[in-house]
Amino acid sequence: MRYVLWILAMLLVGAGVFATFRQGDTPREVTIYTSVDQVYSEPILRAFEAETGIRVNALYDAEAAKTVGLVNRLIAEKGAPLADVFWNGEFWQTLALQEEGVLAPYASPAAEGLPALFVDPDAFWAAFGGRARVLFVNTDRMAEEDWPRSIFDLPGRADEISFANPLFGSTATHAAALAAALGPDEALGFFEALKSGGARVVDGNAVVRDMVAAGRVPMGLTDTDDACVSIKKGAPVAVVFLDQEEGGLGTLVVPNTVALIAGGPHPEEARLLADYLLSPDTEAKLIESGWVQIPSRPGIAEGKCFGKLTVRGMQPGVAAIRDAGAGISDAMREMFQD
Amino acid sequence: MWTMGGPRLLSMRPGLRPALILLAWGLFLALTLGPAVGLFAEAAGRLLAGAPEAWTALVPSARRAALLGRSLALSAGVALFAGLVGGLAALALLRRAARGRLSGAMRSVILAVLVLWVITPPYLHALAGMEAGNWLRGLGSAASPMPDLPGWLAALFAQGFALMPIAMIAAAIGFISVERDLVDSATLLRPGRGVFFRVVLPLAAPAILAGTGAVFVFSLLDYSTPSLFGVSSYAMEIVAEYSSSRAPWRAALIALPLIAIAALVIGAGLAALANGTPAHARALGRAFRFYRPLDTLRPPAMAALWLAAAYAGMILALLLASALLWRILPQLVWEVRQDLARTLLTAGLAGALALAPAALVAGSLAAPPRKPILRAAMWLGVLIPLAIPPSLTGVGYATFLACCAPDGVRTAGWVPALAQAARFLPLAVLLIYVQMRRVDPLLIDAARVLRPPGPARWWRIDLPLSAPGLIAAFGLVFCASIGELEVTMMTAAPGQGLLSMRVFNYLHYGVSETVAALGLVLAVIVWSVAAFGLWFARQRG
Repeated sequence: MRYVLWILAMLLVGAGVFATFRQGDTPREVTIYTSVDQVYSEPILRAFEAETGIRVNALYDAEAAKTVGLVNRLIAEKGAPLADVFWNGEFWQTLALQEEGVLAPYASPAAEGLPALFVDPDAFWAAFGGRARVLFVNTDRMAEEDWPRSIFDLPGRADEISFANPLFGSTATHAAALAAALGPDEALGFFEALKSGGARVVDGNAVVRDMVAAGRVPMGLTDTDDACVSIKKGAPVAVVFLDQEEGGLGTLVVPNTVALIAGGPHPEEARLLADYLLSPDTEAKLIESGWVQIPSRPGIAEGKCFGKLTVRGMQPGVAAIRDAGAGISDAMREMFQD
Repeated sequence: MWTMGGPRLLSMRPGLRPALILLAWGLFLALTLGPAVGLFAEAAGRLLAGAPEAWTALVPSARRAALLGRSLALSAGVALFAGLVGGLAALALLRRAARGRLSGAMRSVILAVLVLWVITPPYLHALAGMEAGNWLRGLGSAASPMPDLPGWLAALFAQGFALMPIAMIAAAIGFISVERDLVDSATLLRPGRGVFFRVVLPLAAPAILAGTGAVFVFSLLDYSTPSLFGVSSYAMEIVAEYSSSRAPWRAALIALPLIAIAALVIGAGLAALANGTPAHARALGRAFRFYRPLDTLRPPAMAALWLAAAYAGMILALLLASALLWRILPQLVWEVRQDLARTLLTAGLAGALALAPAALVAGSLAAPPRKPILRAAMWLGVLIPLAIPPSLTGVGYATFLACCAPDGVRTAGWVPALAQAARFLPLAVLLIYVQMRRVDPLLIDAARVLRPPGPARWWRIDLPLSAPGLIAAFGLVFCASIGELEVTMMTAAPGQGLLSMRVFNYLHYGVSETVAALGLVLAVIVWSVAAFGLWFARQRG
């Protein structure tokens, strides 16, 4: 009996040694908080480790509290940050961090070649590779001629629709973008109509995807990366890029954003990681893996799900979206949280 | 049944014992209730200051009230399903045992299966449920596909099956504990099924209700399974509020209704057990004769047993059957080796951290003060932490780490272990308490005659006699921590990810060979430790 206990104790000690041991251990490390799903972001970070020898300590977000959990943590840690880099799957919360004074400016050389709108004039963040907000439809439950083509068609068919809680993630960004494009009253009216019309509000875009793919709802608002997962699995689904006609509203394109954290403990390594994330190679890898569908630079590889996409994006710039989002945030909280 | 071992096992120098017990209670309460109490203190300050946003959070809105209603309905459904199927399956098993169709070895196997079943993390049951849904979908043709279960029904079955062994074990204990003489007398007066419905069932009801109540509470406080099936739950609302409001104290106010309901159910369960008939028939087989009147319930009981057996078989088959899974397993284990090692180490540390305070608190429960109010307060102190949603404990720990902990603590790998230990401390206390009550006091006295007081006596007598309870408690905390998610997610430092977080994140992409393989790794660890614990318990009789 005693031997068994000894073996157990040694196993535990062994596990500890195994967990902490690294061949050729290096003192160089960098800490990143990322809201990009672990399945997509981890291979990129591991590749950075392999190329540079810099150890990456990553903190990934959970689907349910997407982005906002990490943002809260960054704000709470503002006085003594642990993180060096924030890699966000969208831009709305990055702007919130900029306003809170959490970010440090850095003009990455890797951001050259990105569209002007994708780079903050004060260099607090840079954006790359986008996902688009799409209407995801179940083709078994809805014939193509019945597919809505405009966001304005949705309130009338609210009971057929599902969308993620608009206080979080890219749905929050979508709400802010609609407020910027249509004005706060019309945007709030849009969400109120969806809610009161019986639309199903769920915990995340992945849930919307699964519900549509399984036919539990005929259609839902989600992102192209989520849609791509179901398409790859051969589910009876299709995506509709809304408001694509000439002069139309366009669809929201949500780029990734990369920013340095002010006072982060490893500034030099942080700059190297930011450069790596903003590089064309990383964008190509993310298109290949399915996280990015809309390249921010010309000549980058086509995605597997949608091929070469030409999408008419919504027009408001990030500053307008930030301001509009701040203007509706209380009302949205009242509508969907309180 | 020995009932005096606990206090004697804890005997030590007179001045030292109360101080140690006081320290243990302080540690226990600080770890289990401290994070939530901190949040409530801040919330109370804001309420007293008349902050309108505090009062808004305190009074449930229509949306929140509806969400609470739906969560309660789901948990009630889960408890009903688990209680009904678990209770009937227990009856079928006892009936077989009464007829001599259940050998000692088979009883051990069944007990092992139930223990392994109940310690399997809930989201692995959800994984199995998703896989079963995929399989059922494949049965239909392209023209007429098999429809999917609605999310709430899938979540109900996943949680119901996951928690069913609790109800099953509680029902079995209830039926076995019914005094045989009462049944014999009733059988003389009114033979037939009336004996079961009028005598056996009412006498077993307290244990059945306690088990069903436990299922209800565990279901109500868990958000992981409903979330995986796309069902919003009130437990998730706590995390959502924390995330969206950036005000952790608001999360505490939002959690209040959940805590109140869970505490009421726990209190009701305790009251039912306390007021129930004293259990006299402990020896297996002594009370079995009364199961003859149950022949009328045989078909549903057998159906429930087969349903439970089929589900257990399905879990095993889904986790083990895919050939691709076995091909990718070695590579995957190598890729996640650091997460895996960290997970083992964290769970081991959690188990070790829980032992000393759990043992001392359990010892004080076994030698309670004479005043009933103090005894009641002690039991309340142990059980109330079970009513705190783990997500709120996680928020409390995260808030404390962000505001007040130095860098060395915030990045430390042992913080999740401490939080996990805190989450499962009450269960460890209960387990050690039960074992302490079973130690023969005469055995202790006889052994002590040969040894003077001091470390040698503690090492040679007290510790070996307490060992089964301590090892069982370690195993319980270890196994539960391996799959723990809610508190771990909030306290893990950057670069210190654990396997449970990876599995949960991957599960949002649906079932894949990778998730199944990771789930298998988790399950094998937990099952191995539990199997060892059972083997050890058997060795010790």
